[in-house]
Amino acid sequence: MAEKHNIKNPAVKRILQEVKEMQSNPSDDYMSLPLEENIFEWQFAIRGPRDTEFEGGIYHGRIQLPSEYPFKPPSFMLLTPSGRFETQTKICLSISNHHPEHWQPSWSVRTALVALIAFMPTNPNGALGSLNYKKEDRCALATKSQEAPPKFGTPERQRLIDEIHEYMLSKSSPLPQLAPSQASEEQSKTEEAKAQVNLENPEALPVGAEIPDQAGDRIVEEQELPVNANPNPAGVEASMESSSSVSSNQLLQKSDARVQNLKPDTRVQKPDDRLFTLAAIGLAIAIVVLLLKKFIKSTEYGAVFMDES
Amino acid sequence: MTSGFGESTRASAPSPSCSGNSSNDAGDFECNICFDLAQDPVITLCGHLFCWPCLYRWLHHHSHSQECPVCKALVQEEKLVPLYGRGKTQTDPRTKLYPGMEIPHRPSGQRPQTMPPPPPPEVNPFGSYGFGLMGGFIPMATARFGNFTLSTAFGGFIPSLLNIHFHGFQDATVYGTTSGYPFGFNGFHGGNARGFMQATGQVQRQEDNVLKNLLMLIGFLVLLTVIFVW
Repeated sequence: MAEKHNIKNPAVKRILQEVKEMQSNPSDDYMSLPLEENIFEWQFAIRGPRDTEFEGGIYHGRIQLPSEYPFKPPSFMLLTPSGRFETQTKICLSISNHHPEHWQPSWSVRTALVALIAFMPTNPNGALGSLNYKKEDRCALATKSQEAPPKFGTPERQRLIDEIHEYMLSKSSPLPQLAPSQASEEQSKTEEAKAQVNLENPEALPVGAEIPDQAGDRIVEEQELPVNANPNPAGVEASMESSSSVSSNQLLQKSDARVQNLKPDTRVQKPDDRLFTLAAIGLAIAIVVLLLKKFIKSTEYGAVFMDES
Repeated sequence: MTSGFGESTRASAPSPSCSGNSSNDAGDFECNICFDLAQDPVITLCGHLFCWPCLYRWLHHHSHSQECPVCKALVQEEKLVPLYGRGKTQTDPRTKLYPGMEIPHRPSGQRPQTMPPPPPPEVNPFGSYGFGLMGGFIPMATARFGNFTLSTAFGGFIPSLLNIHFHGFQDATVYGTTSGYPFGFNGFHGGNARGFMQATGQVQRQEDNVLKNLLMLIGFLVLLTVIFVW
């Protein structure tokens, strides 16, 4: 793949870096791959968040990255009907090119997909490209989305869509809502997918053995967002900020802070000097009082002397 | 379908050659914008690391405000801190991140002042003076007490005499001996001896000890006055 693209282009370098990260740290909640012929065209699929009407759904979509990526935001278009976003239409989100002023170059396709999963249960509020179907209709669409991937684009793109769909099916867990016959069909599909994976990539097994630890940690972290009942864009940004603040805190902890060591002699001397000063003042006051007393007594004695004479 | 999956697998193989990051630990020094090892690294006050060309391009060509690309904190160019490692500065224009784009040199680090040199060891200027002062006090006290013991005084005027002594007046009065206070005289003499010995024993050249001796002398005088009054 690298030989076909201009490595010197910073956008291409960045996209290749993202592809590498996505493949080395796969997730069960989303899958994304670029086209062979054009690395700026991606196909993705996300899983509906749990405990929502979208649970069990596999929603395919298309991402178009701009030539100035990551300084400009990408555009997103869903291909599977969901009841939340229109199909074949670019959707309006704070992470899409409808609002370039909200885009952050540190965001990536991965963060965008996590945000998209978090946006599904939210209220559309009439945003461009959004729909507001009833809950029952959304559940029906979610169930239907597993049966077959959507038909879209060139044969190469369709192959990519089918590949992603198989991956998502292999990672999904059987749902109690499904009918027994559909459940058995899903299981058979899963087995076929696993067999194909084993046949095509025998070497992938040991690599897979190493990955579970990292994947487990990552899944735990990433699943926090879909679990939220009503996540909102601010929540998504807040989570990003919190993660960045955590990393910055770690940096601060690692750095060595210089603490000036005060001289113990200086510290010890000050209280002693103060004590001596107070003692001296007290003694001076006592002396003055005693002198006054003696003065009074001497006057009395003088009077007595006069009386005697 | 099978060939597609195979192609994607083969496509991922060349990825390591694109970047030199072979382990996850390298992510600590990757730019937050280009996801590659930072080139001309700079770090913001909020602690986020960027390539200087990436950050410059974001701040001057794309961003609507001076915000950190990660946490949206305010970024001031004069407060950016460059990181100087052991590597040589790259001057080859072919390795620039954004060829054909005029990017100024990254801001220079702000070097704080060096620590002032430690002060020379202190010489105690009060030692000899204190010692001299102490020496001066002892003879005066001895002389006064000697005069007091030798002089004869009328019972009623003893406090006045003591007052005069404390203020430093000369002894110009002579009174007849009184046989009514023999025990009192003995008590005074004993107290005088004990105080004198204590003062002598604790004479030292340190300032603190000099102060202690002075305070003890004053305390002794106060005690003497109290005893005499009673």
